Amino acid sequence: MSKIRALYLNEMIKISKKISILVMAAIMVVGMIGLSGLMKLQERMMQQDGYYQDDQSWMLEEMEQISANLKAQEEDLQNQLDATDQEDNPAEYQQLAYQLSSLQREYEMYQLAIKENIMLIGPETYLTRTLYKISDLESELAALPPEAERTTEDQASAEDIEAKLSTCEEILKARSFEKYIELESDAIEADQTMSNDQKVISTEKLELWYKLDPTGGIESSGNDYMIQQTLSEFENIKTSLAEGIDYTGNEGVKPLTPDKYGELENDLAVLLYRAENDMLASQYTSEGLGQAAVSTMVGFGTSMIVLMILILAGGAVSQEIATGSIKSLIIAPVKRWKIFTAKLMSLLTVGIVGMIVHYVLVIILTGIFFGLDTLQPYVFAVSGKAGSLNPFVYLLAGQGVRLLDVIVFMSFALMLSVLTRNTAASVGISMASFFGVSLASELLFILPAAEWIKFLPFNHLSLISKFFPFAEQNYFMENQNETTLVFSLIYITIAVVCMIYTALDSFNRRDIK
Amino acid sequence: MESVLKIERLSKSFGRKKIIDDISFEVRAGEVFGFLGPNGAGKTTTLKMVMGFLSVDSGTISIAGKRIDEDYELAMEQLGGIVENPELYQDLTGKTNLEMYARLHKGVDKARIQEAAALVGMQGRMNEKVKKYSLGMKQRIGLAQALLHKPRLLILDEPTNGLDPAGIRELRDILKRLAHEENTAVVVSSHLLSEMQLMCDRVAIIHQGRLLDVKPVSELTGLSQPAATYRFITSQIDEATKILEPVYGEQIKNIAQDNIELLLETDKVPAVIRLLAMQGINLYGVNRQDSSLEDAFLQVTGGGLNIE
Repeated sequence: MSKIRALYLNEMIKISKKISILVMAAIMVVGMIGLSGLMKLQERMMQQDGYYQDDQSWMLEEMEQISANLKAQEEDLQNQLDATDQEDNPAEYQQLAYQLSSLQREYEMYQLAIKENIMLIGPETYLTRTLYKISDLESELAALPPEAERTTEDQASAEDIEAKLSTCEEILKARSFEKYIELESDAIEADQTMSNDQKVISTEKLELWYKLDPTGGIESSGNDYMIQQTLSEFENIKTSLAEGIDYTGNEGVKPLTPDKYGELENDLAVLLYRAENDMLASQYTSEGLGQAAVSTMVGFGTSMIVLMILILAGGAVSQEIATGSIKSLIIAPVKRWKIFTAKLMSLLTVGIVGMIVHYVLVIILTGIFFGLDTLQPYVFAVSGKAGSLNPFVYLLAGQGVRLLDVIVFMSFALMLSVLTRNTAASVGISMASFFGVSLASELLFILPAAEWIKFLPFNHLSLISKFFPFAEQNYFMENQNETTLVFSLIYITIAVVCMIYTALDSFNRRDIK
Repeated sequence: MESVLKIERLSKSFGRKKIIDDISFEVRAGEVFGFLGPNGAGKTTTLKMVMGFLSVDSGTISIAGKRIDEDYELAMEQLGGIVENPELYQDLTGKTNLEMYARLHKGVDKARIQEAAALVGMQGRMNEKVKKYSLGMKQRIGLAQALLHKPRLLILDEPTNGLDPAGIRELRDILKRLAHEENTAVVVSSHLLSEMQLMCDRVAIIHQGRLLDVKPVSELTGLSQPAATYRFITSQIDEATKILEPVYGEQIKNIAQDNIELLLETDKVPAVIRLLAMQGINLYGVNRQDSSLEDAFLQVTGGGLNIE
């Protein structure tokens, strides 16, 4: 043991004097400062421009443009209608008349929006919804027979519609989100086409909206998109759970399996936890930008550490053989496996120390540029109950998971270094495979489901999403060959053991000429 | 004398080519042992097997009584050496290089490192990076490294490479002192045969992977042989030849412009001098001509010497 310790110490001394390592470390630090600094700059610019808050004049212009276009289309249609003979061509006439009336309503809606200063472009607010509702109600009213021919039933619904319309106008006048919710709730209650479940879900959704944003989207915080997405996810999951049918997948509607049921319950718990704890920052807010900066720094730093390890491991044995410095190791009274073990341990140390330094750097830079509040806790749920992991612990645990990738690439480069005894080849090949793997892992989302793809190595790297499944959900893309965490861990353990054993065996036995 | 290095029936092939073929010899404590052979004869291969670079196909190697295939670390503790050039870590100082090496051996402290540096005359340059050293200085640090743990067996492969004549003389003195005063067994291989002649006590001659001969250097160079060549220097070659021919005709080896060489037993020399002097030949000098190691080597290997 004392021999291995002495060898290990020597290895660390050698590594500490390697220029390439110092250069890589410097690039990592400078790069991380640069990246977070750039993000900070973007945040500054965003605050100065107000991004898409405040400045609404361009939206008004745009709306006037649209409204003018609508007017032109309307006139065009009117001309066509005048040219058509109602008697000869009743079907065409009727269709044109219908198109004209819907165009008119749209035009009116824009006119009203311009008058009321409500932005129909941009994120949806309760006011835009009210405008759409008015438009819908008016078309319902128009669909009823003329007043003289109405039955009592027709008359009742006409009155109902007009009552709703006047409420809508009240909402516009009062500019009150509460009133909107009231009206919507009443409408849901009265709606005969909805099941009880649907009614409950819709009402809950409205309540959630009010909770997330009591202004109903008027005082845009830049989070509107996130809020709308959250609301629709909420509705999807709730509906799926209530009806036993999975609406959340992207391959159409499927019956809900018990597993999926539990999964959705957890997703819902996480969603609500995030909503309740104000964790819905989008990248248009400074908070969201800070979070994006953190993940960029984490990604960049990890890549730098992997590259650093590749350079070290790729030269660990081959470089010593090339320069001949291996001689003093071979002559020393130590068995070769001890030399190898010491090298392996020193490489691991560099990886671990690198990840820790990187971790500290991320925290310091985040603290300096964006404030430590930017670091998000990990929200998870177990059997429908949500909990959260302290952000610092979460980030550290993430570093641990990313270290697995570092170890895999390190073993690969070390094996090549021993087998080829050529530093350029082993560093080159392992770097190429590192970049190749990151490209290939994007392929995973378009590859079809097949057993053999499950055994491709790049399917088992970047395990972060398997360790922290609630962290980032990608609802648009799905890896069809997703394997379980345990399978991936077994896979990479076997791979690393095989590579290390191959390297050790060759190093032990081969002559050094 | 105790044998420190014992090689028995050693063989090694690279691929199909047999590089070392059934070599056996011993190196004793307190001697400088020369390992002699043309390039490609298998000198370095043999030494690299002793030092653990190459695996052994068959045969055994023992250092200080420990077989390297059984007690590798114990055997290697008694070994110090340099193969070809000493390759040190260029970005580290001489001192750090020695400290790193010392860490792998038992009982080497700071004082011993200083002592070893002083022995090779490098104590003043220890804090400079190795890449700033000249080749000779690297050789010295390499030697200090090899001696650091006071090995009982010291192996130097081509140690005089890159040394100036003064450095070679110094190295020779160090090695002789190590062997004769500290009882170290020193194995030296070199293609500078004249150097070996001055340095070694015994010489092994290896050729095409086979060990041809192991002999004391004096035996090979003929010091103890009864007959030797004597060179008589005179300006009167013709007269001298006439006088010597009838008596020593068979023994005349060479007649040059200003000298005659005779193969004589040592006790016959005064008679020759007396004869020439009495006949009035002016003798300017008489030299005994030792046969050189080169001659001996050529004789043993059958002229296959090939010096790079």
